[in-house]
Amino acid sequence: MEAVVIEDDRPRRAQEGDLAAFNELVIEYQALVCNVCFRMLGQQQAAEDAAQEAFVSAWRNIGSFRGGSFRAWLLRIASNLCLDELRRRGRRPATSLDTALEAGLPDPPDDDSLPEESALNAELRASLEAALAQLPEEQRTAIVLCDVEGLDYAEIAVAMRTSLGTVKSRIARARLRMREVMLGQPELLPARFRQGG
Amino acid sequence: MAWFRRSAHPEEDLSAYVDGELGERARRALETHLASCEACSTLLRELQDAKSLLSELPRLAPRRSFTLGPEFAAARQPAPRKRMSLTFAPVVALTVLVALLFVDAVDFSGGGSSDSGSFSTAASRQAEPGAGGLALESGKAPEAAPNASAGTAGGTAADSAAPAQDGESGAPSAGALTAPSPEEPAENAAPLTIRPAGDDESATSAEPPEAESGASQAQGPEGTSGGLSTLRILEIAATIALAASLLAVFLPRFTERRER
Repeated sequence: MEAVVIEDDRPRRAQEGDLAAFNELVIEYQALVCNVCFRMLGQQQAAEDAAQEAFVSAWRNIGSFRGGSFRAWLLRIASNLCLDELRRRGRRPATSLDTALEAGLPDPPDDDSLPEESALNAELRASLEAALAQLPEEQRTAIVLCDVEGLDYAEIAVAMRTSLGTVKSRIARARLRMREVMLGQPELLPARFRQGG
Repeated sequence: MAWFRRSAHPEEDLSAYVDGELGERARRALETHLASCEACSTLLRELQDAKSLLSELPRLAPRRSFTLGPEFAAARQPAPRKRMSLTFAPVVALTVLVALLFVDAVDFSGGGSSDSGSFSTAASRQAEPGAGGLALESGKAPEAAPNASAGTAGGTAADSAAPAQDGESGAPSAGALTAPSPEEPAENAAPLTIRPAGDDESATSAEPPEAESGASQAQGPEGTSGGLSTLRILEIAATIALAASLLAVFLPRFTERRER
């Protein structure tokens, strides 16, 4: 998934003090940041609080952005805030699907906050959400950034402050786990996924 | 399964291939292998399905706007300007260093200490900051001086020429060296990074050093010999400043690049 390369001067203008330019970036990326925070924290309200804090922090520290993918830099700030929050709460070990279900699936988003109809039926969606929630947090973040939000590996490496090799490995492990869940419940899958060999 | 044996992480490669993130050579090797391996082809399809399902998970639409209000207009850390002057620092430090080395070279080529001593004493009487290493050419100094003070903020001291003032060259530590009496003004300006004002000050303040100049005349000839002369110290300081400023400028960039 190649990003379209258009020279975006809004980060530079923001660095020079142009709050309006920064707010354009906020509008462009607020859905992205909210969703990533939601995946990390599991609750919409907490996610929105973290997102707001992330944008304020990004504005205050705009001088430290040194070019490259702005959204990756922004997500790094957001994910660090979420990690702090998770530490404050204490991690919940999700060693099995049952435990994850007991701990609580992510709050279902408000119905009016879902922008489009999902092609997935509710049961399948619940199953995927549960499997995601069960993943170790770094694998979950990596796979969400890749498959749900469409970042490339280089951007994910910036957002998660780690190496390309680690990103590749976390995504692979998360994907294999999701595959196992899928294979364990083939009846849930839409017809197009059922294999004839 | 020959390809599996070659690749250390076959499943990771398949996953990266799904994302279009596999390098050229690995990708071709994988595609060749897939053409003849049922098991890997099946696994690949399943991984693609997993990715496809996840991409269809509904996303939140934010319930409000997160734009910052006008009260934030003043809340930024001031950044760009600082960075610019930081980039200047290596250039300035390099100029200072070069000038000091020039002084050094001219010094030694100028002959023995006593010779330089007498010259520099004469020069020091004229006390003017000037281009480095002109200690022996006091005649030329007057022309050089204005240029020098205008230029190199670093102030390589040197010399003099000035309208015959009895004051000596501006700096307090006139005594340290002979030929280096030109350095004295340099010492004032050396902490540098851009203090042309400093040069002007030492240029005009011919008076204070008067007392020291007496001392310097006495000590002149012995200046260059002996351990760590002022010139050496300044050279070392300029080298350290150059290295430090280069580090400060380039290290953050390297760090960023690696993260990307």
